[in-house]
Order: sequence, then C-alpha cells, then structure tokens
Amino acid sequence: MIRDAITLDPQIRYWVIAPILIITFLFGLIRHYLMIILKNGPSQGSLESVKTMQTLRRSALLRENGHFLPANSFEIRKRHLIGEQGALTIGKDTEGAVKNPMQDPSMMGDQLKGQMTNMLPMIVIGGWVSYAFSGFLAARVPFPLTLRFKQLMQRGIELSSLDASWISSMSWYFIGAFGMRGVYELVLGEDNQADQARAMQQQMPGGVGGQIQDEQKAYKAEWEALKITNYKNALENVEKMLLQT
Amino acid sequence: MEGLSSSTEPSDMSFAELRKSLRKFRENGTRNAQLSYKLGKYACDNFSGKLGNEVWDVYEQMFFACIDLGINDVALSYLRQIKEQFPESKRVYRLIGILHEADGELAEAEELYKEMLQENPGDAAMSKRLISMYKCNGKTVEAVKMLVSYLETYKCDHESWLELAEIYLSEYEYEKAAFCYEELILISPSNYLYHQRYAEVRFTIGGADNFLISKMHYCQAARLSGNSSNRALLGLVTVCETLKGLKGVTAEDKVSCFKLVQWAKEKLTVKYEKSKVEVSDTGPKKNSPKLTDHIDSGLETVCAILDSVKL
Repeated sequence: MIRDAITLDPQIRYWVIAPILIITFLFGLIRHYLMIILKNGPSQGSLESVKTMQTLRRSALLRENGHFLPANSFEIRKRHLIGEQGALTIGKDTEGAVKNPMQDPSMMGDQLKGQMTNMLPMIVIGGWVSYAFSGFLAARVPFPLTLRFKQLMQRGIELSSLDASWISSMSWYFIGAFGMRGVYELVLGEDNQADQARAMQQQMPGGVGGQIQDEQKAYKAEWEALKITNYKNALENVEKMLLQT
Repeated sequence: MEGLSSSTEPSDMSFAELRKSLRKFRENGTRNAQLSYKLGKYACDNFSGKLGNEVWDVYEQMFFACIDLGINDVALSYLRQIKEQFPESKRVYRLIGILHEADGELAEAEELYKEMLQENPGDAAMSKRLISMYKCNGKTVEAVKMLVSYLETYKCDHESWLELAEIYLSEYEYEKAAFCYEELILISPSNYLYHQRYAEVRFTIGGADNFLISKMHYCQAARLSGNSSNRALLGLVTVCETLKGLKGVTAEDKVSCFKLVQWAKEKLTVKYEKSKVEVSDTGPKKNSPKLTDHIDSGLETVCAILDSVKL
C-alpha cells in the first residue's frame, strides 16, 4: 500500500481532535444526567403483573422442590395450579389484552424521551461539526479501508483518489460518540444512559410489546412443564443415607 | 462487633468510624437502640454538614432508635424534619403510622394504613405494617385474613409464610400450619429448620401416615444440618419410638426405626459428652461449682434417659 505523503497540520490535533472529543464526552455526561432526571421512577408494576410473576415462580418452585413434600401435598398443589380453575390454566387461556406498546402511554413516554435525548444532541452536534470542521482532513485511520468507506468517512472532501484511510472530522465525531462507552463505564458506572451503542439497541419498538405478550406464553409453558412433572419422593432413601453417615 | 473501635464513646471516634458504624447498623438491620441513638445524635449534632444526603438515612435510624427507647417526642422531631424534606413519600407515611402505633393511637394508625393501601393495593410494606398491628393487638382473625390475601399476591415471601405458620400454631390449626411449612420447604428446601418444624407439626397432628412423614423430614433435617441439630436428633428418637409402638406400621419400617434410634442415640451421647463443662479448682469463676453440678447431673439424666430407651 503506497503511503500517501500527506502530512497534516499539527494544529489540527489541538483545534479539531481534542475539542470534538471533549465535546462528545461532555454531551454524553449531560445526556446521562438528563435521562436520570426525566426518567419515570421505577414503575411499581401493577398488582396483576406481580401476581403473575409470583404465580409463575411458585409453579417453578413446585416443579423443582415439590419432591421434598409428601405425595399428597404435591398433587394438591399441582391440581390447584393446572386444574380446570387453576391459576395457570386461567392464565394461559386468557387472551391477554394485547397491550399495544403504541397505546401504552407511560411506556411510550419513556421511549420517546430516550429517543429524543439520544438523537437530538447527535444531530445538533453532528451538524455543528460538519459546519465548523468541514473541508479538510482530520485524521488517518491506522488500518487500510476499502473504497466504500470513503463515502461515509470523507464527507465534504471531494477527492476521488484519496486513500480511504483519511477521515473527516465528522467521522471522528461519530467514532468518538460510539467509542466512548468504555470511558463512560469508568466514569459513570455500568448501565449508563450515555451509551450510544445501547441506545441504538433500545430503539427496537418490538422489545416492549414482547414483554407483555409473553405473559400468556409464559403461562402456557409453565402449565405444560408442570403437567409433565411427576412426583418422585426425594426423601425416600433419606434414612438409609442417614444411617450411613 | 467488628469494625467498631474498642470504645463506643462517640467523642472518641473519628467521623469516618461513626459513619461506618451507623452504615453497618443500617445494612444489617440491627436495632441497637442505645448505641445507635448515642452515635447518631453525636453525628447529627457535630457532623451534619459532612453527612450530606446520608443525613436522611441517619434521621430515619434515629427515629427508630427513639421509638425503641420510648422517647416518642424526640422521634417526632426527627420525623418532622424528614417529612419537610420528603412531603409526599410513602416511606414517610409508614414512619408516621409507626409513630401513631408507638403512641398508642391505634385507630389513627389503622386508618392511615388502610388509606395508603386503598391508593396502592400492592404496597407490601404497608400491608405488613397493618398485619403486624393486628397481630400485636390480638385481632388474629383480621391478621390472618390480610396475611392470606397478601400471600395470594406475594406467593414466595418466606417471611410472611413463617408469620402465618406461627399464627396458625398459636391457634392450634396444625393442618394449616403444616401447609405453610410445606410452602417454606418449596421455597428453600435446603434449610433444615423448615424440615424440622414441618416434622414437628406433622408429629403433633398424629396418625401413622403423619409419623412416617415426620420421620422422613427429621432425617432430612438431621442430614442437612450435618447431624448437628439436637432438636432433629431428639425428634427422630421420639418419632421412632412412637412408631415402634404403633399397630399400623410395617415390619420394615419398625426395623428402620430401631436402627435410627440407635444411630441417633449414638450421635447425641457423643455430643453431650463433648459439651460437659469441666471445672478445675483454678478454673474460671464464671461457672460456679453449683452450676456445673447441675449441668452435669442434667446431662447424666439425659444420658440415662437415652440409655433407658430399650432396644
């Protein structure tokens, strides 16, 4: 690979690279704290959802640990859960009101806020960077890139013969924004809201709807699992084992 | 208590040590009223600036210490400060309810809790407060009703199941208590205490089936405790003895009863031998000769009882 004999002005280091980095970092911090302020408090989860979770958990416990109980007790509980009026049966047969995430106001509010606080600064700063720092090369990526990257990395620089490794300040901004995750983790601790990569993932609208529809499926799965669990007395041989100690 | 300097005078401790001790109390849930009060008061009087936002946690701690010590008016002053800072907090309302209870204003407390529960039926802390209030005042029926409905929602709360079991036992409802212990076994089957109590309840209910179940669970309790639970071992002996004398029991079971009794007796004798207190002439004055004589004779009696269990 022919090394281009292009030398960049060292002033770029001070007046472009560093400021963009610092600004990206600071805005990430602001975003994080803003999200904390604007976020709804941990939603209590309606009584219904608590009940659901606990019922499912109890059923799982019954499957796992029911063998320590006497046979009769196990059967009573099993029948209670998966019998005709059983909690699991009712749960799995109820076509739960498919809570469309679009209509659930608090969820939507949270999502919108998240999207806004993430996207808006990016757009704003991106625009400012491309306005203020356009028309020149900012840096060189240390590894060779294919020509396709030129379109992405070299906005505003219309040189078709230029090596794709040279990037504009705009692309430096994007690299900084996404790559800051490590720094944020050190500074803000885990699970911070400044993480762009995670923000991208969180914008999946299906995620929220899936949680609520899963209830019925969860009930069904638990029902089936419990149905096939047969009681086996775990304490049958405990005496023999005890005498051996 | 680790982490505390040897002197517990707050003026001897540095601010960091004070804060650390108070934090430790909060984390472990210890209600060491006298000490907390002393330390907390000193900290609040002299270091309130340094505590920063932690001061509200300390105030809450002080509130509980005051209630425990019976100085309700001081508790009220702390509560007022917290309420000013957090006017709409449910946690604060809970504290108000506790103060009402401490002052003996039970009707007000009950009203407050019921109001909070109407607004927020899922509030576990409020339900628990109301339940414990009912229990303390002997309103067992209401306590049981609330507890049962609470458990309909929070099915896996072992604390509440324990509470319910205790109430049932005090009302001689052994079958229901057994049900509660079964739930507890489901929640944590490796806890030997649950097996033990379950076995005891089954034994109390009586009947050959229950004795057999009881025997199994005593064995499990003994196993899980590493053969160290005296209660389980003694329980095993009692159950097996009872089974041996019963008519409806198979010969096989009776044989295993023999073996178990022998085995348990062995373990118990070894344990009691080890724990005999030896007192020499120059020994510690803690155990006066009279006391050890009693202990020794007590142990001899126990061993005699075990010996008398005829094989």
